[in-house]
Amino acid sequence: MTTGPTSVPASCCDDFARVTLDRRRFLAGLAGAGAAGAVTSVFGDAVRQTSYAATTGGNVLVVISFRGGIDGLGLVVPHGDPGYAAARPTIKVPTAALVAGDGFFGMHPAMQPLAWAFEAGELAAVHAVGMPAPNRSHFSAMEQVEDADPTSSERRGWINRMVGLDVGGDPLEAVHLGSGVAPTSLSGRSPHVAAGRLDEIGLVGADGEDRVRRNRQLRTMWKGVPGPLGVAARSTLTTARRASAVASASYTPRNGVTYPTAWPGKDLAMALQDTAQLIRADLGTEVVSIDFGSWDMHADYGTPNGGDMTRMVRAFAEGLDAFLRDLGALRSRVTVATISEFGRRVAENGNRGLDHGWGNVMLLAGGGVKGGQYHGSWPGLGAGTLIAGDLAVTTDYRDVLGEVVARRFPTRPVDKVFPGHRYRPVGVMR
Amino acid sequence: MPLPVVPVPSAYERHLMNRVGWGWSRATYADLRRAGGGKAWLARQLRPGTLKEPARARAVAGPWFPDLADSPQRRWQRHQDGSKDGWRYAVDLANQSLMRRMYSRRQLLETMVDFWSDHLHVPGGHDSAWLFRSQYDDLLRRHALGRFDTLLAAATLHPAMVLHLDTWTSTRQRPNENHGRELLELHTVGRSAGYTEEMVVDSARILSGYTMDAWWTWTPRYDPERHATGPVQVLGFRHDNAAADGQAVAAAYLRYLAHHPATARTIARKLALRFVSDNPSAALVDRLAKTFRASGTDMTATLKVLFASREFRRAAGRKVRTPDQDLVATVRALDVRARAPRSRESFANCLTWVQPGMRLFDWPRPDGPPQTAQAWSSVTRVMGSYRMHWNLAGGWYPRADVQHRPQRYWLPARRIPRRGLPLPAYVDRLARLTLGRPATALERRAVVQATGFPATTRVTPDHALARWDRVRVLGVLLDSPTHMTR
Repeated sequence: MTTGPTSVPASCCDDFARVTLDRRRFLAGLAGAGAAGAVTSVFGDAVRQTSYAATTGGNVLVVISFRGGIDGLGLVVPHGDPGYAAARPTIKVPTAALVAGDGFFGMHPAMQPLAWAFEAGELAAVHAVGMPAPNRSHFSAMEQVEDADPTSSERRGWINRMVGLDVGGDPLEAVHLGSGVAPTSLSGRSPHVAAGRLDEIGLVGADGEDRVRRNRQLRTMWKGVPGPLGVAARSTLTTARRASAVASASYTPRNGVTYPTAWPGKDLAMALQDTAQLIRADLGTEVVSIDFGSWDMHADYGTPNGGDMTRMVRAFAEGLDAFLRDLGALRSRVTVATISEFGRRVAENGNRGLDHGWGNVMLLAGGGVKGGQYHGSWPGLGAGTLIAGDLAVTTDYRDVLGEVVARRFPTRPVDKVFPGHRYRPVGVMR
Repeated sequence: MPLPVVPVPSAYERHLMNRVGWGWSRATYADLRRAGGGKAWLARQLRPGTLKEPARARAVAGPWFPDLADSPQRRWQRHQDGSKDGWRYAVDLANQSLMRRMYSRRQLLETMVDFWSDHLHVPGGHDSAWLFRSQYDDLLRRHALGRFDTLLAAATLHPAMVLHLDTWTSTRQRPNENHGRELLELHTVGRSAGYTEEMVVDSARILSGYTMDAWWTWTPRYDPERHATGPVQVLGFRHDNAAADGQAVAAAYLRYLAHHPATARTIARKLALRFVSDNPSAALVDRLAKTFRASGTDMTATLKVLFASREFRRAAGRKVRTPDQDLVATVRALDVRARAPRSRESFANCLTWVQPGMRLFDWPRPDGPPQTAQAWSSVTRVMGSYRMHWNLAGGWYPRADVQHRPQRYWLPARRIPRRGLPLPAYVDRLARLTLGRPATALERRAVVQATGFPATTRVTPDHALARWDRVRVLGVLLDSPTHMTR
């Protein structure tokens, strides 16, 4: 399963990360037409689901995956490094346009909706993070980042291991929203759920007055059926009942918040709104995972005045802003972390875009975050410090996630979440 | 004329259809009876070339998916000019493969194509291998029931695999170890064979030279400049590897690996896992491995031994259907008939969206998707399978360019008593049609619970149970341990 570096020129894979998005949109359309939309993340088993007691009032981690490889240098700009502007003659963000800046870093202007969170000390960034060795294939980099266990050949993601470290086995502990296919991070033997929307975690044919009959019928059919499938079928009834009680209740965001409804931010915003609803329902959910892409901008990246990057960053910032304000005081329980499979090349290419790179940025927001500052160790963008044209990685992404786990879920040993990695805290969490 | 009872196969015949093929269907049962019974049908399944394909299977294999015939170069061009994105080819291949399983008479062939697709896995949506993935599928199909040594040599050196596992990036100085390692670990001898890290490097060196003009013309080629020469040793294989052109060394190495006793155990175990149970006996695996080697890695010979084993015959219902097997079996159970696709909304082009879970061939690791109950028994899978069953049973989705069985198929109005068919007889008829066996008392009871209609109900053509509530009866039968296992 090792993957050596491969060189990937422009536009090899523009659509790779769009696949999930397209499918999700497709299913959203279906659900709208009443044709039953949810598909499933199906990998994993339910043997351990038999008994659980949900821990309520606990902390929640929300992981947003920027699919396609986000340009960390454009999201959090190292304006103090002359290498940045020099490498990007047509697509650089001018220093004067940056928000939440300090003497060296500043955020993309489209991050303006989140400037308040940075100033309030609830938003931070860690720069020059990534995997210990470059992997510039979307396909295997995503798998490697999310599996995050070089010591085992079992396909099991870090979130799956993390939720598996408690005594419970409730599928609602780890929820993927926005698509019915769970990413690798959630996949594995610990129970988890994946659905396009919250209201798709439920039973077909069990609406309204049919609910009782449908449940009774399924109990009859699956009673005493041995093996993992029998366990899963019985556990499904419990999960559906608990989730549908939440999903069928109407949800009004607090604090006068309205979630964005326009493309390209709608999917993310709906997933975040569902997340807020789930957190308020307090069913014992510990991790929510959401995908947001595509960031694979090999061409026509754009400028702060418009274009793909600005559009996507704004969609992200508006969605997260709404989510954080909706949560209000509940934010103290909720930490948001972003991740992406790789960063992008420092220098722009001939199509005013950026090819696959290595070092990247991660954002942290919400409870427990040492916000209002830029963390990490800056390797520099000078000719002698780049690795094959890419930002070097000085902080292992597992140390950032590990610190979040250590501080927010202190009963989960970091070395069991990230086996084979020697954890060194970065100092991003209080 | 009174309503004739729907004929159903013997338990053994039903087991054959579920295990050798893709589940019970009336068409396959008719085929089996025409052949003269289970054994004769099985014998013909082992010689798929002798089975003439019906029109729908022929259409699926070609005319319905014209873009799959695009050369890698044409695919790249269309991807670049935006007329067909790369991932849409992966969707096409998934849909085509699902329908081959549904409609082909060559049920065992399709099973073995799936088996090799898993074992020698190349993801359909891989960054670059998608360009060659249909060619690769053709290759697996060609060798599926032939000799493993031939298949291994062809698949290992195929551009799809050379791209997927990075051999194309290998140079004389820096052979990429990825493929060299997976060839040993996953495709042949397995880790317990005891090869060393030096042997992994040698394995990669042997493969170096097979490369590709990637991202430009996509022309595969052998480049002696990239081949790492010098002595190699992997397990018992030794070669001085002196020539710049290492193709002969690669061929000899692959032949050696294919015939290695540890490889025989790998393949034997995987076959037993697929066809028998999640915990096949060591004795069966040994027997299969022995036959595999003695026959010169002949798959047909090995499968004959497997199918004749007592362990196979007694294994009915012990395997959990994977989500894609569930979808295929559901279409077959309901006798849903795809028609020529006319748009992206057509049944033939939307099947993959109704499949619970990951798209076919999209497993994101080189080891291929698992086949165990453990791996496919999650709450989300169960919810997704139920939804898929109801979408198809209700004829709700996908609904364009497809023929669902009409009401008279389930309840032939002119052949039932005027007062209607008693509910238990109606449930029995639906069970025979969809599951290939009579209804059980449990199912009859569950239908009463599901619909709220008492067992004394007489079902007439205008009764709810014959119309909008029929999906609830079918739901009982499909959302069931019988249908979700094989």
